[in-house]
Parts: sequence; structure tokens; C-alpha cells
Amino acid sequence: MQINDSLFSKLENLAKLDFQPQEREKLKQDLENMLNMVKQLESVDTEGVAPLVYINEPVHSTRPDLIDGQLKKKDALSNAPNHNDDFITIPKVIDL
Amino acid sequence: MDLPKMKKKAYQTVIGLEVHIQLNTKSKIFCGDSTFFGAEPNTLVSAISLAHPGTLPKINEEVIPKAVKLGLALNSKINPSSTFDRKSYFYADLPKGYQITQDKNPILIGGQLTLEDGSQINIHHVHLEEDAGKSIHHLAPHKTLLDYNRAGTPLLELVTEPDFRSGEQVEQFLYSLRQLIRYIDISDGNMEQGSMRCDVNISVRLLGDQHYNNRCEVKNVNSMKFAKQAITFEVQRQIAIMEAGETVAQNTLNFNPETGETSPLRSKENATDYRYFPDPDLPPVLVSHEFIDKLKKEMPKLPWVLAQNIKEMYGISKEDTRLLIAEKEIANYFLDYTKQYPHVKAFANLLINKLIPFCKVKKMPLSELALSKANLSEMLQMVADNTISMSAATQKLLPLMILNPDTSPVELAAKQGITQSSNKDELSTWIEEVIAEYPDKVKAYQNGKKGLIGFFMGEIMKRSKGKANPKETSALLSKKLEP
Repeated sequence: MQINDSLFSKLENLAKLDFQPQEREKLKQDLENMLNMVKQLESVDTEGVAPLVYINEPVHSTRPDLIDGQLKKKDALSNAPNHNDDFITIPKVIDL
Repeated sequence: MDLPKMKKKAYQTVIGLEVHIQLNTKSKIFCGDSTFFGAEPNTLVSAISLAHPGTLPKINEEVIPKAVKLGLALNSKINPSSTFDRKSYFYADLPKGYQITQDKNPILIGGQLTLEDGSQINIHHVHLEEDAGKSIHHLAPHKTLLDYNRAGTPLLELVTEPDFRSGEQVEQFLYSLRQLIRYIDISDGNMEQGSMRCDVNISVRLLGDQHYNNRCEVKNVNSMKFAKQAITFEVQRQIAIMEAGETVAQNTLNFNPETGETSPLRSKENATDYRYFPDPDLPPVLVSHEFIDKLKKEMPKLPWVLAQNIKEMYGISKEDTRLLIAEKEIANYFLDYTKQYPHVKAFANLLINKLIPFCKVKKMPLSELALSKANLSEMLQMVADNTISMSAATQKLLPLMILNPDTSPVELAAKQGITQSSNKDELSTWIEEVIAEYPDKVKAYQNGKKGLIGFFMGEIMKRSKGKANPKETSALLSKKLEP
């Protein structure tokens, strides 16, 4: 499959990333290689084989409804690039 | 906006709903953060809800029975093995970059809810998912503030078929659904706090058309009143566009509760390619027949079953029945009474007109009312025996009973002298006094002004301090007023 510029721009937009022209060419090549590898996998005959989603046998794995593992606010915010005393802050994402 | 005063053609409104129901578990759907509403921002978060690398979600066991209970109430098919998918959605209120939801294989499929007007609304499916955090846009001028307390709160999203034809039907549906989820105790259903939220899909077509036109989805509808307002506005807007010979554009709209109008939701994030794929971190949710049977036995009587029973067994009107079953607490209080005591209809009236309003004013639950059902029954017996009038019972005796919960109502009534008199001699004395005092009015009555009977009754009641039995008095009075 050919990764053309319009498909690349769409992926860029969906991933919220922005690439320089020279990076684009390299990434386009990488993506094409990945798709070619998948194409190779597609050549395997999987007729009548159910898709494998879960590596383990389906087990009913649940946890009890208990409050556990909460972080302190200070710690929770510390990893964010921008925050104030209460909130993580980001550029405004909506026009009001 | 100018809306057309006269429609040229006959139109039909077509509405479908997506209702988000927050489940009332203690902790979140995939991790142990508290789901408490109104906590300080970013205090109910963990490495999992903040999507730190390497963390693993695990489903809260309480959400499964809650979902199944809704399925039993709505007569849905309960999926023995439902699965989770990732909905890619790059938005800051979802720290993972995707929402865990059920796309291909939801936990409940189909089902119905019958409205008060008799029409049946079909449910397409109900799926489990996690709530997003909250983005706050209005507190800082150039920034969006993020609070992740809500991120990961368990949700059931109920999707209906486009079966609604009016805003009234939507209002009825939301009322019944909220009542139901409270009865089966899966959510507090508080729309103001966002425990139940609703997106409304609206389109309009010419009456008789079979195909659906473009629809608009109205977001941010957080009360039943707003849902109705948004629909009224949107239907008029769409008809105006069609009358002008144009086509309604498929759009996501915001509802402004202050103006009652809808407007296009302009977001800088407009990618709607969700690229769903199975979430390998979460095994399927397995629901066995045994589990469903166990929950079936635990199901409470549903509101519409109770309504039918109450109407049939006690001959109570539809309107009063609606009030009696409005809330589970009231219904249980009423049903407890009916199990032990007589005068059910009178008790229903007392509950609706006196006890419920009293508790509302005092902001206390019925269960804390210092009135035993035995005493209330005794009071109603006195009314039935004509020992006390209903008005004296509710206006004079009831307040005394609240103040003296351990004294019997019979004793209290006797002590306060509010027992009703049916003694003919006593009644005659009061009647004759009044007749003697107003000879002009007596003459007027005899000359045909029959409405004066009310005036005489009022005077007699004043003299007797409300003790005169109205029925006996009225009969005796009419006789004595004859020329």
C-alpha cells in the first residue's frame, strides 16, 4: 500500500502530531514497511480461525468495589507539564 | 431567529436518545478511586485513571450486577460474554487518548420501556464504559483546566431507537428511566449533578415519509425541562430550514439553558474517526444463567408493576398513584401501611396532601416522621366513625400527634376537645342561634338565595369551634330554614 501525502496528513491529524518535510519522507517509508509486513501476515490462510484478541483463556477477572490506590493531589499534578494548585492546565481547546 | 408563524406542510419529529447513567458504586469502573461527587479537584485519581504507563485496568465487580438489573427491568437480552473496545478520541479529558467502552459486543441488547401514554420505546442496546474527566473552559482566559476526578466513573450508556415523536415523550421516558434506576438502586439519577445525562438526536421529516432526514445531536442537556425546550427549539429551527427549501446539515449542537436555544458546537478537535479496536487489557465480561437467575430473585417490584397493583387493589386514581410511586421511599412507606391497616384510600390522601409536603418542607425523609402508622390508622378510624372531621384531624390533631408521639390520638382529641359533635340538641342550639342572629339572610334564603347555606354553615362552624359534624349539621340546617 502506498502512503501518499493526503493519507499521511490524515494520520498526522488523528495523532495530533506535526512533522517537518524531511521527517515525513522517512516516516512514510517506515509506515510502508509496516504495512508490507502486515501484508505478508495477511497471506496466511486464516479461513475458519476465530480472531485472537485475548492471549489468556477468558477468565472472569474482577476486583471488589473498594477505594484503594488514590494519589495525593500534589503527586497527581507533579507529572503534568503545566498545572496550578488544583488543575492540570492546557491551551484552551474550545471556542466559547 | 425568525421562526415561521404558519407551517406549509405537516411534519413529523423523530427523536432518539443516548442516555448516560453513572452507576452508584463506591469506586471507579477499572480502578480504586472514589466516585464521590463534589470533592476537591484531582484528589480522586490514581496511576490508572491518569493513564500512567504500565498500569492495568481491572473491572469493578459491582458494575456487572447493576448492568444486568437494568437489562432485566428493560427486558433486554443479556449478553453472556460482552467485550471492551478502545475508542480513540484524542481529547484532554481522556488522559489515555482513548475511552474504554463496549462497541462490538455490548452487555445488553434490545429491550423496551413503555411510556405513560402507552407507546413503547425500543432500546437499541446498553453498553458499559468509563466517564471522562471534566474540562473547565470558563475559569481561566486562555487555558482549559482539567479535573480528572470523574475520569473512570462507571457509566451505562443507553441508546434508544428513533422512536420518540415529541418532547413530551422524551420527558416521560427520562422520568420513567430515572425512577427505574433509583428503584433498582443502580444510580442516584441526579441530573443536576450529571449522574444521568442525555444527548438528544433530532430530525424532522414530512408526515408519511419513511426515510429519516439528517439529524442534529444536542449535547449538554441536563434536565428533563431542558430536553423538552431543546427539542421544541430544534424542531422549529429544522422546519424553518425545510420550509425555505434547504436541507438540514448534520451537526452537533450545544444547548444553552439560559436562552433555550441550540447552537453549533465549535470545537478545535473535530476528528471523529474513533478507530475502535478490542482492548486486550480487559477480558470479556462473563454473565452466567445462574447469576442472572440469582439477580432475578433480588429484583424489587418495578414502578409500573406497583402502579398497576395500587390502582387495582385500592381504587386509587392514576394521578394519585403516580405520586405514591414517584419515589421508592414513599412507595415503601405506603405499602407498609397497606399491609397492616385499613382506610388505605384515606391514608393515601393523607400521605399525598399532608405527610409528603410536611416532610418536604422539613427536608426530612418520611421514615423519620414521628408518627406511627398505628396512630395514623387510629386517627383515620376516628374520621371514619365521624368522631372527628377530616379537617380537624389534619389541621388540629395531626400536629398534636407529632408533638406527642406516645399518646393515642383518641386521647389527644378528647383532651383538646376537638371531637366532632353529632349530638342533635347541641347542633340545634348552634343552628337556632345563627338563625336568630340573621333574620334578613334567612328571609333571603327562603326567597331563593340558596347559596346562603354556605354562609350559615360557616357561622355555625365558628360557634361550634369546628366541632359540628358538617353532614348532620347541613341536613338539620336545611330543615330548620324551611319556611
